Amino acid sequence: MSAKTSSKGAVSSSGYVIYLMPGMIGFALIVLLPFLMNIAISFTQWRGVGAPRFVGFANYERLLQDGLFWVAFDHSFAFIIAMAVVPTALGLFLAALLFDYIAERFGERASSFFRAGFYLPQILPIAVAGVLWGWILSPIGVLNAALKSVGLDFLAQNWLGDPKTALFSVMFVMVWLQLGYSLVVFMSGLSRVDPSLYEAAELDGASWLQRFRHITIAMLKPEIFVVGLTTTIAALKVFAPVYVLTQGGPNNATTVPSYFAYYHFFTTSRVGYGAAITTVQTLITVVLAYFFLRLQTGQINEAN
Amino acid sequence: MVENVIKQNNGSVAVPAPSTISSTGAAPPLRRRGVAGWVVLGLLAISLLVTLYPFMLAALNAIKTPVDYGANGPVALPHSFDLSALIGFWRRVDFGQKLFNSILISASVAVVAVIISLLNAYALGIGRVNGGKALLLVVMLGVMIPQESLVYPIYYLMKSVGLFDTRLSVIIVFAVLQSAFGTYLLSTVLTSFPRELLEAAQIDGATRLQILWHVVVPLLRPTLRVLATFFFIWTWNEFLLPLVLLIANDNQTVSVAMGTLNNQYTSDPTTTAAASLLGLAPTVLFFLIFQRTLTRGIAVGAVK
Amino acid sequence: MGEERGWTKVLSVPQQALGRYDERGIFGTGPLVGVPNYGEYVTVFYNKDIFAANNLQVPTSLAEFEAVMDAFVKKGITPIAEAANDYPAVHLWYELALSKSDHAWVENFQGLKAPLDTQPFLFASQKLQEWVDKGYVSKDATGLTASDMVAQFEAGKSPIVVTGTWYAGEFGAKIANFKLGNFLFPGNSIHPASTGNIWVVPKSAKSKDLAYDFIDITLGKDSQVSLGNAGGVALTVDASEISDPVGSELTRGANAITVANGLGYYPDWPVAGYYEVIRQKVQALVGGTITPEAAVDELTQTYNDAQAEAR
Repeated sequence: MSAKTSSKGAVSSSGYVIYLMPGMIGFALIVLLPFLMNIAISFTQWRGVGAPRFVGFANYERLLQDGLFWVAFDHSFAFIIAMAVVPTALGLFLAALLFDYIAERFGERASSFFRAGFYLPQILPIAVAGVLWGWILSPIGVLNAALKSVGLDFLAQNWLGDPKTALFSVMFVMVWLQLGYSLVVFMSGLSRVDPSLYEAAELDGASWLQRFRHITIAMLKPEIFVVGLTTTIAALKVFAPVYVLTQGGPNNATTVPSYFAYYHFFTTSRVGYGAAITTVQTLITVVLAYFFLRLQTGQINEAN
Repeated sequence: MVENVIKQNNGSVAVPAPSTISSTGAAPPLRRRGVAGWVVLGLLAISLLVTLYPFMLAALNAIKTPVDYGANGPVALPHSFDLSALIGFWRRVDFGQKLFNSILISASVAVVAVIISLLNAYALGIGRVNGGKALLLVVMLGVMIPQESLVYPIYYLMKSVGLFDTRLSVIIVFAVLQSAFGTYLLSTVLTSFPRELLEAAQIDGATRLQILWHVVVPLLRPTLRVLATFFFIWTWNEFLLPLVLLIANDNQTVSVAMGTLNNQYTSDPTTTAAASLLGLAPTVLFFLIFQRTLTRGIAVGAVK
Repeated sequence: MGEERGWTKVLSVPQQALGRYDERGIFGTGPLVGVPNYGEYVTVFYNKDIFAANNLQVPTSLAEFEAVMDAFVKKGITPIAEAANDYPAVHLWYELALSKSDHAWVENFQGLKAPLDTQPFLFASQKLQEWVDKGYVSKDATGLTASDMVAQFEAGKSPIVVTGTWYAGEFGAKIANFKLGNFLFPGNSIHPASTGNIWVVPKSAKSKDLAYDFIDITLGKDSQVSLGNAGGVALTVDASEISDPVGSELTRGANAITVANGLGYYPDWPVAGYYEVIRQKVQALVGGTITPEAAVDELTQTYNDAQAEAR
């Protein structure tokens, strides 16, 4: 359906351009300009103060050979699972459960209560969450104490201090953290859905699973894409939880590109190198997002 | 079966039918719960307890005396009740001022970012501006850029326009950054907006602005509320850019103030726990209020 | 300014070193840019009661130290409370490194003068792993932070903790059920030690004279004695003038170090970001996931990179 349909009160698409103005001006100043500056910096050697020194592609050459960057990038895949795949799937399931099952049997307030509870981890400042999870996952912490008290001693680990379990432990904390976001987005999306749809389907004999597949997932397609893409992007640029829980350790077992960039921006003050890292990081994210968006518009145009 | 139900709605995203919910004003009668219902509820409750355990830890430790913490560790129940850590911290960092700053900044960002997102999404999702897809990808840059890469450029930009060390600078920066996400979410939802409603309004001679305000916004309200909540909370918990841009004590936010706790040479977990609760309260409050408005029911989206 | 106000007289040459910087930004020589008013160093704090209960004396050499720890291990006690997910393990490692170094080595290392003599690092890495294997330090330490370590010491779980004088105040406040003692790391003439943060008066400051007066006060006798009594390490007064026993001992330790020209500073100072690298390697050493040779290799590589860039 073309936006250029003319009827009374012409709806040419060019008239909408003015609505983009405020956003685009802000974007140009706060995002585009700094982004271009960052790219420029990546071609220099700079300590953050004083004058930058032009070095051409030296930073990028170094990056290609820097084993640590590729290790960090590898870990991104683990974070995509922990921050995108699992929370999206689990959030979808939970949202449907609360909306289509709990709400009818125990009331709206019960379902809202659970939603608020599962969302709470998102509100906690990450620095605080890090301290609290540190207390829980410490070798002398809550989790191990609990395991010992039920006789499961042998399961007790040095969760964050042992390279074998560190990444897995951080992934677990990330699921805890991200679940609430997807849950809230999906439930707000479900509020667009007419509950009578579910009732009608149930009267027709549809099981909960069938209702889940044909109503919930179908109706929430836009939200699924948004949550899927934004959580993937968040996974690619995750920084604070890694910084707070393990500082990329032990021995780089949990390092990620953003932590690696932070290290060079602020700790070693190799600002040019940090800029190169983030430029490559952004590029990879953009390519991923491009394909994701193409998939998304394809799917939604199909549905229409 | 279920497919028929959806076909009846013309396969489009369901516009909440006005009849069942709002006209009667009463909630539909509760379904029979059954054993299965209670089992599911029980499992959910356990999951919730596990999710909220870290918060309990914070609460328990916030009221302990340092000696109690030292002797019994973080996991033990408090043997003392001492609010001096809370009070001391409040005074030391002038927490009242920090609270005000955080509320001012987060609320402003929430409002401004939602507006910008709405305007952008209107043009992209409904107006279907030429090159909209490419523009969306470009806007998404705001979501994809790792924040570390923005620090140096924005620092120098703000200094050069004399906005350095002002709360306004932080508001501008985050209004733009958050609106990138908001634009993406809203334009995705709006692309599936029922065209009949728009055409009906256009035939009635409504201008683009009137359509936005009277047709689109009412249906979008739950999503806009979710967006505002997200923006408020995300901005509240931001640390890196506020740390860099706000220097004067009077300008700093809660998250920056909490950074003072993680000093290398003092171990003050009871104060950290206390401060975390203090920093948490306003966002929790904000979220609970938002919850209530959503519980009041789906906004009426009558096809007039 | 320093000479005018007499600060260069009150502070000895080693005590001024951290306030002086050359054109490359490396400390030790150059104009006096800032003035410290307290000192700090890493030492061994110990639980006098547990030592006494096991009939053990304060060791005076590394061998004696190891013998003491052997005795504890035999009784099922982990001698040293440690944290390898944080800075403390690095300090222990550096102490061991300094036991095999001299003042010249410190100057070359801290001054980024080529090339790096890796002997001390290799010894420290091997020794540290040895100590973990013998049970002197727990492998769990890789998951513990400084506050965990301190909590263990304060609760009496481990009788020894190797950490800095900055904890003296904390120990004073929290330790109520045993007597606290401290001794310099046995066998070392050089220790991780330094003067504390420096007071600097910015060029654009409006009330420079008041600032200078303030610095005078902090270096004056009254302030220094109060500092010592609060558990800090005073720079310009004698240990005998401090009444608090712990503060007095610590100041005496600091004086001994200064007199012997034993300021080793800290291992991460020469290279920006070195702290991260050292901490991760030490953590891996304690966890047994890296060999001493590999750890030293990586440390040397980072050091060499920094040298190349500094030229």
